[in-house]
Amino acid sequence: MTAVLPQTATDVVLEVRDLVVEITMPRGEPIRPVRGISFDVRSGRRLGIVGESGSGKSLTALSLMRLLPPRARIAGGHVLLGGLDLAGVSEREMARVRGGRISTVYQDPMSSLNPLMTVGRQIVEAIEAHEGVGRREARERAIQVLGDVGLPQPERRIDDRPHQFSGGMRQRVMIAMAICTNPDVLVADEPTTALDVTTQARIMDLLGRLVEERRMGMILITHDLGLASTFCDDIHVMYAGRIVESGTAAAVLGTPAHPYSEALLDSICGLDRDVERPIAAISGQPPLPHQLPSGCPFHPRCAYAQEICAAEPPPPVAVRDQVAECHFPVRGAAA
Amino acid sequence: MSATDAAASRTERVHDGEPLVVVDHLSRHFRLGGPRSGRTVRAVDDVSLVLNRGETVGLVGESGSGKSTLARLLLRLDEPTSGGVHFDSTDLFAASSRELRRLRREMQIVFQDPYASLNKRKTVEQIVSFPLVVHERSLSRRARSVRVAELLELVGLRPEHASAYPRQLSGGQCQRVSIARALALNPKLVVLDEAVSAVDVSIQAQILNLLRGLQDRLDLTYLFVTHDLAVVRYMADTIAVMYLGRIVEEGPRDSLFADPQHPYTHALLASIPPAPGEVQREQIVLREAAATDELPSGCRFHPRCPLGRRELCRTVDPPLHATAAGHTVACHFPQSADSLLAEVAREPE
Repeated sequence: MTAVLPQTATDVVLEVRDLVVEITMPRGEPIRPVRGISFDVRSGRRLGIVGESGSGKSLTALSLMRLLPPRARIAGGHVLLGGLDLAGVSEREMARVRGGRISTVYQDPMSSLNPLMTVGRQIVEAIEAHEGVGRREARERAIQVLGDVGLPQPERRIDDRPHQFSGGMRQRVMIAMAICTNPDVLVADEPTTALDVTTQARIMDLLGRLVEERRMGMILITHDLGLASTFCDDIHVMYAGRIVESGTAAAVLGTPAHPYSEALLDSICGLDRDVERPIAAISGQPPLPHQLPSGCPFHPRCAYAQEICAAEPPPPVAVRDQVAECHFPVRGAAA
Repeated sequence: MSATDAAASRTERVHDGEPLVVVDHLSRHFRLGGPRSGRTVRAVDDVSLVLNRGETVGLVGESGSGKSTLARLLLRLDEPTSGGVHFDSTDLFAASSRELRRLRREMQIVFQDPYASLNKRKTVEQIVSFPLVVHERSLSRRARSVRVAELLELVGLRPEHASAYPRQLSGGQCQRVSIARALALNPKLVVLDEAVSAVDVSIQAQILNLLRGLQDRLDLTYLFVTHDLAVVRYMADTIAVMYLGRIVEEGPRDSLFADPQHPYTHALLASIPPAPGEVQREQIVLREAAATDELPSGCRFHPRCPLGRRELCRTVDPPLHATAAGHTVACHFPQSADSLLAEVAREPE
């Protein structure tokens, strides 16, 4: 499976260039949890951004939606959606785009839906706001989209309130709300973490089908490498605010080039591993944004680290089918 | 002790068969709404389980399965509706307050959220020494300090962490502090309630290895409560799968993973995204049950079971019975995943 993706410029629905997110601190210097990352999102493709907590993956998602918390801001770079640079547009313009051409599915459906409003009202509002259609047509379309996400009897359930749905069905409602305006880009931040395992797989199947049918570009933010490997076409691995490795899911997770990706894969507790042997854990802790190590941020935990790693930040290097920011990428057996 | 020695001792340790905790037909029902509403939730419903000394029992289930209620009952943090628990041959719910005080030293718990379960105004030293302050009053301040230092070393923290506050530590380090506190009184039983669910992937492996090492060194008995079958397979000698308050499948790890029989266990196994390089198991699609707090008739899993439309399943509650592979299952039609998939394909809609 070495299919080269068609990389025509028209495919690209979202371009992120050198994005920097800064948070001002009550005391001292501001910190930079996202430190200059670039990637493209293509229509009909699923991009996975994987990383641990503190890697900057969720702040990346929030900055694409311009929903950063009060003390955080986009301090550099561009987020290009069509002709717009979302990093620079006015809040008023952003309100038109958000939930329209770019929308998001959050982790916890219970706290992201209004418990007092029927789910129908909430979806109708989104359609009215972005599509400029009347209430009757908006309601028709809401019923349609609830059916598309697999809600049984949508014409009846549309007038129910969120608490009348199970967790999985609530997440379907959230997804319906996110896709009802036919967005170009769908950002899903840990969309199944709050759900039971038997429900997770079905929600991911649904998201995959919708991306396919509607040719959306999708970004999946997750810490779950197993999920990323089964769901995503491309993977970006984040560590300490940088994308340290990127490439196709098969390349990055099959033959990782960055020592961090490799170590992360070894530390997974899979269903088929030998239970008698201890898991190969990564030593130490992920660094905090205000205490970044010099040079390569992974060097204090890296098994291959040498002198230069503590001295100089590594440049991106092409290895096989992927790119890794490492002085000594894992090249594997000579081909 | 080298890694291979540890591995060998793990295999030996299993199934010596001396029980530490015996759970006997334990139930805990909660009444919902007002006193006259008459609705009850059977959070734990007629559960029997044995935890042998030095063994890990893994309790697996989704939210609402009753696994955390069961864990709380084992520590007598809650009182049962019926049934009982014997801890080290003492009836836990009949114990006098004096006996209970003694028993409490021997049973400890580590919670899921490492930040929420530590007092953020206390230093690590104060947190870890608190059980000693309560239970070993004769211990001098100096002796306590020495003991805390030993405990911190045991869980892989440095001596200087003693003066740190929780917010100065990472999630993984906080979880190590929780473990040190749980071990302060040399307990026999440690309940690990989703103890690694909130920590990062790279840290999860460290904590799991630490827990296994501590068990071997200190001869601990673990109740490992989790929703993650891959983690439980790594940690537990015996596994019990819970669904709506009942154990639906239970037995030695190898038997249960080699030949699972319950449709719910199959669904749980198939729904784990395989680690990169592992093979995806074929999905077993559960039916979507309506959100209700009423207990289903017959087999409580039937509204979600792919075979659950059958008369027997809708009317008769299946008891636990032995399988050929050497574990127990509560299902009218226990079978392998392949056979289940074939049968589901033949089933009329």
